[in-house]
Amino acid sequence: MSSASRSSDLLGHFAHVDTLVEAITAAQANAYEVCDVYSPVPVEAAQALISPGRSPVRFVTFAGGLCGLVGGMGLAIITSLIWNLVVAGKPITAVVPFMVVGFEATILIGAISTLLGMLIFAQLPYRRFPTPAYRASFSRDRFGLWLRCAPEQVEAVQRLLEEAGAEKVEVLSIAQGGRS
Amino acid sequence: MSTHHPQLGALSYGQVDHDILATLGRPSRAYLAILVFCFGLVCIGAVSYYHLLTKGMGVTGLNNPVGWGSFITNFVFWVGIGHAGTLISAILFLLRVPWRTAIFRAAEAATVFAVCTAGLYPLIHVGRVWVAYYMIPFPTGRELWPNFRSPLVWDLIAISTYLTVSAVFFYVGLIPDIAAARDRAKPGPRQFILKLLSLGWLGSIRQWKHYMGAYVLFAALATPLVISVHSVVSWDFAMSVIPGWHTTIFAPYFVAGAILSGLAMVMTILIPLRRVFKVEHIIRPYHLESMAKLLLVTSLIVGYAYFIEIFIAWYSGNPFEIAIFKYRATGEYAAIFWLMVICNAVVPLLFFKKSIRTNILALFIISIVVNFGMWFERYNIIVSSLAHDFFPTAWGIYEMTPVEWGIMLGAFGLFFLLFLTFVRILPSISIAEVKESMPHPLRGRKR
Repeated sequence: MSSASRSSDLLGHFAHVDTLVEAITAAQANAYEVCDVYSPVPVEAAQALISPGRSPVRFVTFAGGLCGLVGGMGLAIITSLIWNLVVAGKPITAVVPFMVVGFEATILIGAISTLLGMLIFAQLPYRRFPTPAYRASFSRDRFGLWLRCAPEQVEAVQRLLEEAGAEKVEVLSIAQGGRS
Repeated sequence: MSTHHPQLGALSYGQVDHDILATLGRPSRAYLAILVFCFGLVCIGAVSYYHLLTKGMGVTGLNNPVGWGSFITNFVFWVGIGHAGTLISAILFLLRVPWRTAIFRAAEAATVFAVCTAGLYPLIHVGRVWVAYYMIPFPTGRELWPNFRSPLVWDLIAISTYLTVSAVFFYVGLIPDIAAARDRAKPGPRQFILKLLSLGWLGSIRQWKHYMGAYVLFAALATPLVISVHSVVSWDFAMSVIPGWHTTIFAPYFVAGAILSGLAMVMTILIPLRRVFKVEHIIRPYHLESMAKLLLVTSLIVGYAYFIEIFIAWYSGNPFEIAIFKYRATGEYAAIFWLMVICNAVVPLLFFKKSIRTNILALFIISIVVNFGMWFERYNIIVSSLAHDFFPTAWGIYEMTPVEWGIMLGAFGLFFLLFLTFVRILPSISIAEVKESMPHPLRGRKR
């Protein structure tokens, strides 16, 4: 029997951001596993507790932008060398006008890379939607905290969530091992 | 990410959700009537274009010396309209301007649809649309590539980049709101489509982290892009030697004009929208007044550009430059020139008066006046310079034919048809960002 199959899942519904953050802090202090937090808006305080640091998407953007710059300039330079016809007395490899092409390609590939980076890191499209703990109210005006603990700790976790200010606590019956 | 918005403090998250999603309810008869009217305009445009395709470019007023007429005028006009969305959504986002949250979605939608409309015009203008793909750089057996030193090729690259980036930015911004609409939708085909479009968005803390990280980067990429696009469009003209076009101020002049026209169009759309959809408590007079202030600033820049290009023409001592500006003010197109000056540089000065910029009807009327003014500006720049260049023997007059009028009406119909369809299908005000701009619900604070 795996360790996951010996665990229980609880979902706390919160109406306030401060109570949510309080509950996360308490859960982490008691070493309960925070599976996920759902929110209709980004909550920086909760993010700092669960997933601190900046998103790595920026590295993907940088790499994409660099490829775009090299690709755009390369396209203009190489194609002008293939068809080396002097136009209006301008040099065959005219760096200044080609910078327009390089700039636009930097932005284009940078933006597409940002999109791909976001989709990859945020795991979108999310194939297992909805997760067992997701509720429609979490996209409206409620915050959800999904905790995992040992079966004998269920009551303690329930008490912790209620004391922190949860409006409702659900004990989830889910296929073991499932998480966001 | 956004600065808290003091004006929205009285609302709750649930109310915002409810009121914005209510705009997606059953459409009114007035809405359907406008939709049918726009579709009628699109049909007029389609018939006119079919006539042009079958008869050839001879059915237009384009000829020597005016080879760029209404099609390029409309192209530049619509690209300009497409500038306010990215300005509001990207630049004002980076500057943390609080009033953008309630209006940026409609502005972004206007951007995407305006650029789509603009993109049709070069295809119409080339005449033989079936070989328009020659403009795209792709490998062929002929080893013939576009000339990357040409501003027209820069234009193709800039506009297609702008459309792609604006569309991606627009869609990414929509994801949390589509998820909210999905969660409120009844089971059925609509919910299924929303489920697909929301990409399974959960609003989990990790998703938000990468989403917000990416959103800032999109804004950072879109900011130089929005400046570059109309600069590149202006170089279509400025890189030539035609009097009235060959000037270094064209890039900032065009960018300011684009933002002016875009803001005016967004205002023209938002004022009826907030009333029809009963979201006046979300899009408040405060938002419109803030837009009016920005419109006033850009109008002053445009007015300065009008003055300075005349001054430079005189100061340069170049007889051709002096001649073209005299011609614009006194020749066959003088009415267009003076309407341009009055609509874009004089009428918006009324916004210096607070009572006018807080009067919704006045805002609506002035925004329409500016829309007309900006169209006149494009027409004035493009047509008058070509009609009256270096050689008196080559001078000529251009007038739009009914086919060109028909295509122009069709383009306006298409833009409004796309926009009206959008506002019934997806939230035209950002739910997530409006909520984000409000103070977080806290235990001690009654919501």
